Amino acid sequence: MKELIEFIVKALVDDPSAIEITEVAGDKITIYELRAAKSDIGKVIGKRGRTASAIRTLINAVSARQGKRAVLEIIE
Amino acid sequence: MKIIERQGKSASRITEDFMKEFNLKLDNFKFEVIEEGSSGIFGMFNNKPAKVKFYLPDISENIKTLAEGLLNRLNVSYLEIKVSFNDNAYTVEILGTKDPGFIIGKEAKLLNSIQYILNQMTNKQEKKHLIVRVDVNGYRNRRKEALISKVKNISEKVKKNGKSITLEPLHAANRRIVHQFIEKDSKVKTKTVGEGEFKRVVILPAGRNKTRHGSERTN
Repeated sequence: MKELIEFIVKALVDDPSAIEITEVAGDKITIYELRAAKSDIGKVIGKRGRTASAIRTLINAVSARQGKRAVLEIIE
Repeated sequence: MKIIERQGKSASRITEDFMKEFNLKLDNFKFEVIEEGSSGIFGMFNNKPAKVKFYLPDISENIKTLAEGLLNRLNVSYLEIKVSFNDNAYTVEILGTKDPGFIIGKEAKLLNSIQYILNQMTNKQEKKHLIVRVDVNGYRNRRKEALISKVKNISEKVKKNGKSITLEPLHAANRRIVHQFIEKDSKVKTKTVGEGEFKRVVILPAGRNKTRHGSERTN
């Protein structure tokens, strides 16, 4: 899952080296905290949050199939 | 695949300049050193230029690589990915998948998200605005035909009763299909009402004017 998020996000930003994803595993929900360069945050979120929402749809679909739940948090 | 040949002092120098010129990273392209080149003794004898052949993948190949990368990470199985270019858009076809239902998702939500992400990735990589469509086992075409046959029925009803009918909210691509279909019929016309996610198409008899909302398309 982390690899999926990384693959997408790194292809969208200007500074892929600043991308940092931390996995916080919980009982039922895994949280993925995403950090990016300040100037790239907007690119990860997208217009009206469209990019972020598309990434979340992908994450939800993959984790639902594994019977899990995952949440993406974009840390500013 | 685009092939470009360059000459220069040394192979490494040519490669460096080439990468700068096309703004490339090492893993974006392939190259082959044809001639190492030598400057001879004191640059006087045997002065041979270096020659390097560069292989640049074209946009379709790049999109295919991105699509494969994305689908593999989504744990989606498929036999083949085909990328074609027509009508100003690239179409990525996922063929021979065992779980089309998963890829499409409820109301094509996942498929549309994959398409959106792939669009963003491609535009970023190619540094220009391109349209990328994603299809699974011919799903989009089937939906298009289903939509057209539904719109056909509705437009017959509109013609018969002389009353306009409003369709349910549709995505831009689907609204476009409706507009294009109705455009061919001079007895009906379309207009759009609503905003954002909730835009709807209204089909109305062509003879009637004066509508209060939205923009009209007439023939």
